[in-house]
Amino acid sequence: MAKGSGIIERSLLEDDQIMEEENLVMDGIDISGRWNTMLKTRVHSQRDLDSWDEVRASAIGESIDNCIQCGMCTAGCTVAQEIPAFNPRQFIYWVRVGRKDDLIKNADVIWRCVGCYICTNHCPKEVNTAEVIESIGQWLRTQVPEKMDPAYRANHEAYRHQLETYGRLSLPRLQAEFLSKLGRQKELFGPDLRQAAVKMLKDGRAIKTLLIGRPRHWNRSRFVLTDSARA
Amino acid sequence: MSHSVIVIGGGPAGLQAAATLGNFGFDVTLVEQHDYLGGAVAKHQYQVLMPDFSSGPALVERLVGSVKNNAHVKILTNTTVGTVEEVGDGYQVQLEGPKPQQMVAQAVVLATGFDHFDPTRDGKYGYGLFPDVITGAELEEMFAKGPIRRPSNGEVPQSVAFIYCVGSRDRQVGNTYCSRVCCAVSAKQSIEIREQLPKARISMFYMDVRTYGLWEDTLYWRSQEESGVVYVKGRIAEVTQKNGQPVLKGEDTLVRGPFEWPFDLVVLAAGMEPSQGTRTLSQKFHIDLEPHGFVQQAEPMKNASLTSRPGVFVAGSASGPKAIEDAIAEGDVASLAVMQYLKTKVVV
Repeated sequence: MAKGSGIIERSLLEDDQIMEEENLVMDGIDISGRWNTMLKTRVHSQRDLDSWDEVRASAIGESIDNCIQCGMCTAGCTVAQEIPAFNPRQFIYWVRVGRKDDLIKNADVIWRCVGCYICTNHCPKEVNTAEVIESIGQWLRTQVPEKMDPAYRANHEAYRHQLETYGRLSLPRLQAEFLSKLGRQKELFGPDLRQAAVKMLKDGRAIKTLLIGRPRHWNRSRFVLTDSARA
Repeated sequence: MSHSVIVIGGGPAGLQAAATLGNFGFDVTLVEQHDYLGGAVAKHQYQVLMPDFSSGPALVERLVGSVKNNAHVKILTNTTVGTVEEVGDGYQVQLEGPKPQQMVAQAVVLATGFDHFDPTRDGKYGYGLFPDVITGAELEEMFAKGPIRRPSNGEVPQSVAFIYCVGSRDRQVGNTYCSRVCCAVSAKQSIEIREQLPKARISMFYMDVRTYGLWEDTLYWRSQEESGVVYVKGRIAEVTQKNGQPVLKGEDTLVRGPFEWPFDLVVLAAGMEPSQGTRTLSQKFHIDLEPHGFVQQAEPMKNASLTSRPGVFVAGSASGPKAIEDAIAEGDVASLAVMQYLKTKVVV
């Protein structure tokens, strides 16, 4: 039988609120299944405000203090229309009031941001919402990396690595690193990409891209991408 | 001949009215029941005033100076109003105090102020039961006397909670109105606490944040942006105590779900009520009260100080919760109304 199936209005509860042992014998009495069903308390009693300190200390997260929870960001959010669990206002609130458990529980959706910056442009309090969400996502990546979808992580790491190494983003190189991180190198030699590669070799773009080199004084500029700059 | 005016109440509104009327040349008698002048500002030793962070003691000094150095103003402290009788061209008033006397005044200004809501009347906040639960006025006294410490053990508080709307907007305690200034005063206090305690966690528990008008950014936003104060939406249902700390029980209405969070120090933003003096004197002068128990403004669209009886005027928070700056402005508004009233009277 499904967990908690004996509960009336089961749909109002989430799985992790229900404690139910499939097989449990206490003092010789079999209380397996719904006989031992218990609910965890909904009362929040442990505030964890460290996440807030980290976000506000980061270069992209400091405007989090400006938020007055008006909801303009979520109202205009491209992603929230499609994925209701992606709620920028709520992520900011959870950080500020110290609800680390809720943040971790919902970490998997925070990286869904598409970076359209409508939230930032709409915000009446000049919260750079898109980047605050990115900052919260960065912090969650250190807390629960396993919650990050492999494709998001590969994308994120490939971007960062490409930018740090070359100072520019080259689509072929980015695509190659991204796919190889996921073990999908084969797709690089699929008919579409092969056709594109031939075309770019012919019109000279491939050579130009490889020869363009790094931006001037890139070693100095690169510093802003490193962890020491964020600290 | 000169007209005689009684100003009852020596807070900001009464002091301003007495000084202005004295400057107009009226014979003013300022009656104050306590042994000090300055009203709540003096009583709780407000050091820093909302909204402009100006000095409380400097304000009291200026206002008191303006009546003390005024030849037309007679100050009677420790004095209360006894019987009141309407006579020919005004009111005959019995004054009781160190120098009992009877006088006739052609006009009366009631500047009887407000009383803070007494949180022992609302048991859920644990006020009077737990030493670390204090009122905003007591916090002001703490600012005046020394550094912020927990009353229970004298330690520096690591976390401070403000509970909004204590005794306001609550049918259970009989006050259905908003006290107007407590949101902004609490924001001001949180900014002051931050200056003393750089690391303390400061949380505000609110139903709405009503830092209206120009106080939105100068107080509410500033407390968040510069002082890192957190606003949590939800009223507190109960304060209990655990491990020597007050615990706030409430519902976070922005994310839903109940919470029980401990704090080192809890400040109750207690609202404003009609003062005992307002209640007594409104009866003595037979003036109408509005439904919340404050003095009814008879024609607020004409002049804020007019009451239901000619010759009796009101100034300051006797007619409803208001900020100090508004009370002072109404002192002048009442003076103008008194002057217009007396100039049109035929004096025999």
